[in-house]
Amino acid sequence: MAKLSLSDLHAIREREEKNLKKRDIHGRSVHVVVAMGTSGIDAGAKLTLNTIADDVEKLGIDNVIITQTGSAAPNPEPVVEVYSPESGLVVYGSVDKDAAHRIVEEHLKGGKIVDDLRIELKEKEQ
Amino acid sequence: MHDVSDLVIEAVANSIEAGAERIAVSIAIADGVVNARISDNGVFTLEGNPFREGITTKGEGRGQGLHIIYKRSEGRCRLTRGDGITELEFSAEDDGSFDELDKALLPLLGMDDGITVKIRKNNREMEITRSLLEKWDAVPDRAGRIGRFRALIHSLEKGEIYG
Repeated sequence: MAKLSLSDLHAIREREEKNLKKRDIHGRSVHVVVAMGTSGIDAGAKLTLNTIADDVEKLGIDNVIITQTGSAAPNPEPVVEVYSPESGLVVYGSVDKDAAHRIVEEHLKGGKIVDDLRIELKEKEQ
Repeated sequence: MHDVSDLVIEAVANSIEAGAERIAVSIAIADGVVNARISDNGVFTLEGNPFREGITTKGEGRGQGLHIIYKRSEGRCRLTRGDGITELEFSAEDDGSFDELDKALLPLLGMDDGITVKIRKNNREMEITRSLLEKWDAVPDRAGRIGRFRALIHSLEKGEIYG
């Protein structure tokens, strides 16, 4: 059996670390979180969630898990967070139906961050 | 503006934030009225009128949920506690937000593993539990399952036998 070189070992470790990262998210590579607190619901988060769910289903994007969380105030709601090992955490604000379509098509399917919808997450003042 | 199905989501969010492990939702739609009851075994620490704006167990600046339910139901709501169970009931005019039942229930059933939803609509009663969703591989959180979830809800509405 051929001996592995140091660079071979590095390559294997890198590959395994990537795989481990992916498995961390419930065995899925992308995690979508829709904020469904009072202000989010008021701003239409239910439609946002249903649109994302429908599009993910229609496009058969099977490496995505969709969950919900509470309020994202004071950020512009509906707020959608997308976490992927490639791009890390990306937060989108004011995600109406059209914006939800774009996030699924461009980010979840195409792997490209939708820059004009992206926001910096603000923490609630204590 | 919250629709009536949103009020149920608000109530369930309250239950989750109260640390409930079991949440039972019962919805009856008849004669233009939606009656809803949400029971949970979470912690109940509220004093005074829980429906007043700003009254909360969740922390500063929050506590809008019950007040929104109060306003939207025009005061036809009550909150009771007994035997470790908190029960919120309200009635509101049917605004059609449960017409597309799958769209109304998808956010609700994705919120927590411990939710059971009983719904009576068009003289037919349906009970949707996590174990039913798991049995049909229809927990609506990923591609493949979302379509099955919608198909399951449509079948239950038509009275086809599941379970």
